[in-house]
Amino acid sequence: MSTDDAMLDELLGAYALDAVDAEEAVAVEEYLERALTAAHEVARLRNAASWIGATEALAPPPDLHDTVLKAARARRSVGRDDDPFLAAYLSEARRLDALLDTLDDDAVDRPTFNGLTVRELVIHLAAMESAVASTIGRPTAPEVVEADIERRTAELIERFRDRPLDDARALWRASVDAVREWAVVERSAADVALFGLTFSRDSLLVTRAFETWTHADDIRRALGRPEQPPPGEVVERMADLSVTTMPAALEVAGRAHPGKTARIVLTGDGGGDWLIPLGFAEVGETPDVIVTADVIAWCRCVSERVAPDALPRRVEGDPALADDLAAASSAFATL
Amino acid sequence: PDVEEMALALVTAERVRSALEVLPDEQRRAIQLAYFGGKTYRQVAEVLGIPEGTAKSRLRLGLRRVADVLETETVSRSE
Repeated sequence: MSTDDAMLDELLGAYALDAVDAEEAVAVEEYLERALTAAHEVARLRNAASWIGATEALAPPPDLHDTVLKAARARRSVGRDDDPFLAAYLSEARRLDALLDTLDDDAVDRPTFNGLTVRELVIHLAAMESAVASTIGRPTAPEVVEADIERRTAELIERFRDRPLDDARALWRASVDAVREWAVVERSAADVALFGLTFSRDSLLVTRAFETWTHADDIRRALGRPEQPPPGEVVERMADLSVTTMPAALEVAGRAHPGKTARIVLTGDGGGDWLIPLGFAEVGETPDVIVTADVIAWCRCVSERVAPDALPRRVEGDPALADDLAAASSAFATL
Repeated sequence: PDVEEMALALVTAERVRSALEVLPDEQRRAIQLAYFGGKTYRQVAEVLGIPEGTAKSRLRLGLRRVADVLETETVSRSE
């Protein structure tokens, strides 16, 4: 944690009571966007503060909060444009954290898509995120050295077996904070080797956002709740990563067609239009196939939540190429 | 709100009031000035004649204590 962050931590109590000036409140708001542990503490302290009001039935605190939120949002949008990759990561971490706040005791034992219970899936995310934190040199669970993700998940499930789920959440949050701190200072970080793949800083952040969203929707489905796609600007980053890595995915899946070219059109908020080679080769000027699909359905196919042959799509040109594209799209899915 | 919710709210408010009463004087005073007096932590520091850092930590520690009481109450309610 930086000195600035430590100073902001000290302000959390005053902030929860609206007892800071507007400039400090903006700084805290920005900090809370980045630091899940601090955001969690503020939620807790604000709840406590709201009850203090109830004891006396006095007027609520001054309207500073609204002013501050407006100012913070104005400044935050600059940050998002500046670093859409980190913004995507933090967006999905926050959405998952908010979802976990709504779980009751019965919910955690429900089975999810990949066979893990909701509780085990949260621990799996803590296993993944803490593995990332270790790899980038900011370990949050240094005593856990298992790098294989399934064995690491199993080890942590055992470790948290008789403990409150909040303990696993705390590890996940601390790991998200570690990744965030790394991403802030390492804008030009060297590539990161993880789970047998190599990631740039930006692609690592987007990949983590992608998995976090996927498992958040796994939890929603397990609870019978509607799925919730990320905001368009986050979807855009995920779609772009998944399409631009397609040549490699086709090679890995043994479905490459060097010399052939595809145009991929993903529709909806966060969609786009790409011309890509179908393997490790130069991209051609005219596509051999044009595949059009909804961007959210495409992303769910990439994360293996929609089967390739069930992906609704419109194909112009060679349908076999389109089938290979859909089949290879999930080549890098992890769980 | 229904009667049960109202009753729970009253019980919780009572617990928070008790929590405030057992807070160390200096933490309670800081929270009262900030919450009911609408003062910033800097003004709290000035009124109480303490460093600003101390005012900040009194507010944070005091609120944490109230949060602890609320969470104990939630646990006992669900048992």
